[in-house]
Amino acid sequence: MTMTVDPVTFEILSHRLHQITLEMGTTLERVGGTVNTTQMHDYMAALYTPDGNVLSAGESMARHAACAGFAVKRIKERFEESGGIYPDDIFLINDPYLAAIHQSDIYMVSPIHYKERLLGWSATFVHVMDIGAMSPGGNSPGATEICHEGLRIPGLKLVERGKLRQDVFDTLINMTRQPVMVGLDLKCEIAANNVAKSRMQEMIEHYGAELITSVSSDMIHHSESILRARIREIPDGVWTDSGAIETDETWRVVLTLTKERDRLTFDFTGSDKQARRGINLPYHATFGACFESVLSTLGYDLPRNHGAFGPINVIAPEGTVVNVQYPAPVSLNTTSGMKTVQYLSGSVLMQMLATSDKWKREVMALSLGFRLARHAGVNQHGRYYVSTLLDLSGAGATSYRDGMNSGGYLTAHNAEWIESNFPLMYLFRRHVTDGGGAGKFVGGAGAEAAMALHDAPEDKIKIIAFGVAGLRNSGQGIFGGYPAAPSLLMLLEESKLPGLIAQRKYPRELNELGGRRKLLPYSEVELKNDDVLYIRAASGGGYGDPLEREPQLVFEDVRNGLVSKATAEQIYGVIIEESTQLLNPTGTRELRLKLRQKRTQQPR
Amino acid sequence: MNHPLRENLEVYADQASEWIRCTQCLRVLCRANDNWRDSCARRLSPPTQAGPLLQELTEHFLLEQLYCPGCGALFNTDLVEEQKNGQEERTKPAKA
Repeated sequence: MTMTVDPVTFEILSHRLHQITLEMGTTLERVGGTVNTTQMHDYMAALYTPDGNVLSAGESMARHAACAGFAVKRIKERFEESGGIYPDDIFLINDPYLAAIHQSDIYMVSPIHYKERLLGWSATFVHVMDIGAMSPGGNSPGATEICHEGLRIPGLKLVERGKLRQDVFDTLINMTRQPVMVGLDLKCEIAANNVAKSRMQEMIEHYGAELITSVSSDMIHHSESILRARIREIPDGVWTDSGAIETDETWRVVLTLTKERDRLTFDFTGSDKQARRGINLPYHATFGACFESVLSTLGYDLPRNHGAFGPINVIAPEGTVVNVQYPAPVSLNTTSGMKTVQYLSGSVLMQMLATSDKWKREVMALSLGFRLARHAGVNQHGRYYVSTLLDLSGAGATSYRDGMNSGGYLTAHNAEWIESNFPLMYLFRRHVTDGGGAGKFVGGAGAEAAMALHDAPEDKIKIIAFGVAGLRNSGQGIFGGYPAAPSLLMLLEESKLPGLIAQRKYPRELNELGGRRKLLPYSEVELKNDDVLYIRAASGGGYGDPLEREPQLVFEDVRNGLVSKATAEQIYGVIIEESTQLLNPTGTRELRLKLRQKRTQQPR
Repeated sequence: MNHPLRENLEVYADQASEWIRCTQCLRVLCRANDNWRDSCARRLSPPTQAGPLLQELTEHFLLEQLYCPGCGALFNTDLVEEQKNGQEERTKPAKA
């Protein structure tokens, strides 16, 4: 039986549920110890109904909140039949064929009971620092089947009636390269689920189970009804896009969005067959990406919950890169298949929004991905380690403003923290010039960094290169906006760095470092004493025509080092006088007119 | 019913039919059901025309730009794969 909830109580309690998810996230960060959890925010914390439907997805990755709902349902199916679900139990699952996206993302789900009655679930994931796969860190470029990619757990009880099963815990961490850090990863998840349980029980104690159940139901109904109404405001239509995941082979992903009345159908028919590379996505991950795209475009101000499932239908043929079947590998998928599906689901939604006078303002340029690396070896403190290297990507421009510099996917680690924990030394780290895609509104600049080995006891560490491996891995422009500078991962072998340091010279540009340049595909390589590793994060794509950008804004971009004078002139048609270093408005007007006339002379 | 299609393009209805036209110069490009891309002025250039940091894409991709043939308004910019025979292949099918 549900009660009628007054609007004030509804607002207070729905925000309180949201606040619990934020506190769960804070707990993950404070108890966890790896760079992924504490600095990159590569985690999720959410609440679920007793049936496993998303109740509050919090502010972390919504695609994982959707997948963790599948995790709750798989745990219920398994343990209701055998093993039981009791107060204070906590379960663990990371099987990508059942609920997780890849094995490194370990889901922990916990029932929330009040006086022996099951009233909901909490769930978390963190990306653990190792999972016993063939490559340190879990992302395995050489894996051709799931059995190469580490532990695959279809569901086990890690905490039984409030007591940690130490034998199970020890077994799990013993199968990884970093038992201490993985142990900490698991314990931060236990802590976050315990926080959720305590806070939910306090709420239930104060307001009563019936009221909380009613608010939960109303929250989901509220989100679904508003979302459906918004979809109805947009003209019906069909939009398509396709993308490629490029390594030594190329895999195509094709998406057609059909919008009819208040329904959105994402159809991936035509996508390539699953690969013998870990780029493949399970169905629930493909669904989760579409769920996240819908929430972030049409539902960004709504309670993020199961209500957004209602209007969505996702068709992904079995055995393709978007609905992987056993035994195909998945370990590289979050930065390859997932980024492609996120991009495509966002792209078709952006095309849809652009056809609505009311919604076209929300259009934003999207990113196809970026490169990153795991690094592993013996650190300056004599301990074996595995960790992550990436840098900050730029966000795409929108229909009304520039993309944020360093405002793209995930957050990055602190350089000093990296240097104090690992045998690496930063040579520089900064925003790139001419990175953001040009446009009426320019994409945000990504960061670039160069680093070298320093104080490494073994004179080398291992680098595992992954991410979207192709060259076109960056912010894509929209509606005329230009593509952004792609993300790069490059090794400069046998550089001049040792000589420069001996001469007390400080290299500020890549060209000064010399060496043999080697772009890193999906691969494992060694970083040695004379080498330099260069990472350039993807910048954001531009929006609209660069010739429509306010000349004064281009002038400021040049002054801030984000756009070169050559690009200002060639792409934006903006002239800055060499002698005065000031904007030349007349020259700019004339140049823009000339550039525009030239366009009409192009063939059809 | 008139409605926007994307930046600088809209669907426009008269008594006879629905059309796609440039919002800057009002030049009609095609019927609403046809592919407006086929009616655009088109330029293919090296990827570095979008910025010097796209150097690594040279010999793999070309920058394709679609303009209004009437006024030069920019409708679309995309990277398309460059084929060895000098032709280019669209990696993205036509969008609505």
